Amino acid sequence: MNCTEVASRLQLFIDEELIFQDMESIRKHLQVCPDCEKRFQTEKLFKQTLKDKIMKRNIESHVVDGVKDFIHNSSN
Amino acid sequence: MKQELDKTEKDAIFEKEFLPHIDSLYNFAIFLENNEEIAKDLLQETYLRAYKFINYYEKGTNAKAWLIRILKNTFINEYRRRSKLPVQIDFEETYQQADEDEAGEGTTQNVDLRQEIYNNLVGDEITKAVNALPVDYRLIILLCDVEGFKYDEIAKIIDVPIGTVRSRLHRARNMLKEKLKDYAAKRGYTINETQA
Ligand SMILES: [Zn+2]
Repeated sequence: MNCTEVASRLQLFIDEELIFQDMESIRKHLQVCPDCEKRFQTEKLFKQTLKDKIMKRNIESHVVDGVKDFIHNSSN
Repeated sequence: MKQELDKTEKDAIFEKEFLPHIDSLYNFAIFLENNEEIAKDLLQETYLRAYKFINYYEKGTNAKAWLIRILKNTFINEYRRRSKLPVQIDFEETYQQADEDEAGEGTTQNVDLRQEIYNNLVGDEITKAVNALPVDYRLIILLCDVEGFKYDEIAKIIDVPIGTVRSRLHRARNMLKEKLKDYAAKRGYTINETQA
């Protein structure tokens, strides 16, 4: 695969949505192409940053109890 | 596929397979509604529907995906009702053209930011940027990047073909990067690779 072909598949590569052979050819390309490797690292960091830094709230126990009560009352 | 379950079986599935995902569902609801109180109502309604339609749930399959699908549909129905949109207008339609535009091989157009930008972003900026996306784009980022669902699972959750998942995700990420770029610019960072 050349740089253009790799670029057009980078998103699928990062999301691991390519067939095995394509995953392999991109891995091989990245080992020898610093430009594509850098682009890959940056895109990967973007995905990782989203997952790690996005706000996640822990549900309070009274909300869970509220849901349980709601279902209990509605289903009887 | 519908099965018949008695109350004990229903309660067991609910307790063991549905309730463990309530944290994720709650966060989804907050991101969709942008309002904690309404998010709690959406969460209740989702779990109520899940319980009501539990006969359609295949025990041991991906409960989280099934629940998110119900949450998303409940949200859309409510959204339609609140905004008084005619029911026959498909929620997805707004973005359909945009999705089609990007469905081809032309998906190489990427917004490139420097690694430093990502390292310096704080959670609050990322959360705000995600919240500022149109709801379908917000949803796909949460499903793929935050929850880690595969494209075929996402396709089932949001009822679109896999090609649409691919193109919408690409578009959503680019939009998100544009927003993050604005935050970084406000903080005085050099943005593009070429400026590095
Ligand atoms: Zn290359």
